[in-house]
Amino acid sequence: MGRSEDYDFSASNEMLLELCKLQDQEALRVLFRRHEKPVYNLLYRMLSNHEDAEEALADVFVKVWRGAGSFKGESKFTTWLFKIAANTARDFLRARMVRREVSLEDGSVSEGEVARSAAAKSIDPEDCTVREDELNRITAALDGLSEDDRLLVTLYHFQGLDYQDISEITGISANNLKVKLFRARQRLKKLCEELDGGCVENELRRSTTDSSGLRQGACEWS
Amino acid sequence: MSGPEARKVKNHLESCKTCKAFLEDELAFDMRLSAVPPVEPVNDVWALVRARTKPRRLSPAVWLVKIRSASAAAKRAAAAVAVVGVAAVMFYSLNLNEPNVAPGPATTSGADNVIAVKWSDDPLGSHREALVECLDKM
Ligand SMILES: [Zn+2]
Repeated sequence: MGRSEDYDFSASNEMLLELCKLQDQEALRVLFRRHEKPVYNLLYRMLSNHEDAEEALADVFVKVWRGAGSFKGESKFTTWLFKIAANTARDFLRARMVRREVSLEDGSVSEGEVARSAAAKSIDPEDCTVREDELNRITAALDGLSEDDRLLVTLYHFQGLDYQDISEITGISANNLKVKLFRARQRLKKLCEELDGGCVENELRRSTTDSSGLRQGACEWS
Repeated sequence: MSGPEARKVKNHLESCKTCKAFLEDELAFDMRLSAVPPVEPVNDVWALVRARTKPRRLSPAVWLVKIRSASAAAKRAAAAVAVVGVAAVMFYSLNLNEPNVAPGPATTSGADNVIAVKWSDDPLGSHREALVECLDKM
């Protein structure tokens, strides 16, 4: 009897986790298939590139496997899982920062590059490739947020979690969370507006310098 | 927000252009964020996970599913878990954790109190039938 065929896909997350404790890799596979997409979405929004997000996705489920015994059922399985994902994303961001510092010491990365990408990850308004479509603009704006702000915005707006879940994942009290989320959102909005503004400026400049009169690239938000 | 409070806010929004503009702006931004589609992995990452989560050893019996929801059935199930645990220890010297026994989907039919046992490669061999029969009678 094939292991993958005799599995019951209706089993609860908690039951599958119990099976992971018993070294049942098939149970992990079902959990992985069930949750890989939302977890990946969170990781991608935090890390902004597919390569890191995929590596982090693997890390998250390896941690689920190894840490199955630490799940006490005090929170929802998905809350526990997103907490692991959020911590994994943070680990990746920190490792990225360390790599940059090492590269700087090696001289393989210029100080300017580090300043640009590490501190505020400032967005270059001249870089129209970033702003050529709405999704890239949002991604670039998210990238300009601090790690904490990005996590809050991602959990609330892109994962659709409620305050209670986010509070459990981040450890921020419910009252503080509302204020922090509001501020993070305002910062994101400002960054989006900056990108929109830069985009419009570039469009205007282009339309006045382009003698053919043809529009190149659709930058405006519709 | 309660009824009178909501009415107060509504009245204010009707008269205050600043707040109305702010709210409209926020709603538009909400729409903008909600229009962002989820991102999916480009590659299948499972192979990577599988390679890094090799089971230490194969567990012979890993799953007990109880069908009856009555408390008497729950008690019998707990006893069944113990029997499987003891049997597994006896036959394979494995330390099995006591699995959660929870109501689940029917995997076999007819029996009053059915326990489905999932085997990795059926190492119980000829003892399997006797064990399952024993569990059914509990
Ligand atoms: Zn007002």
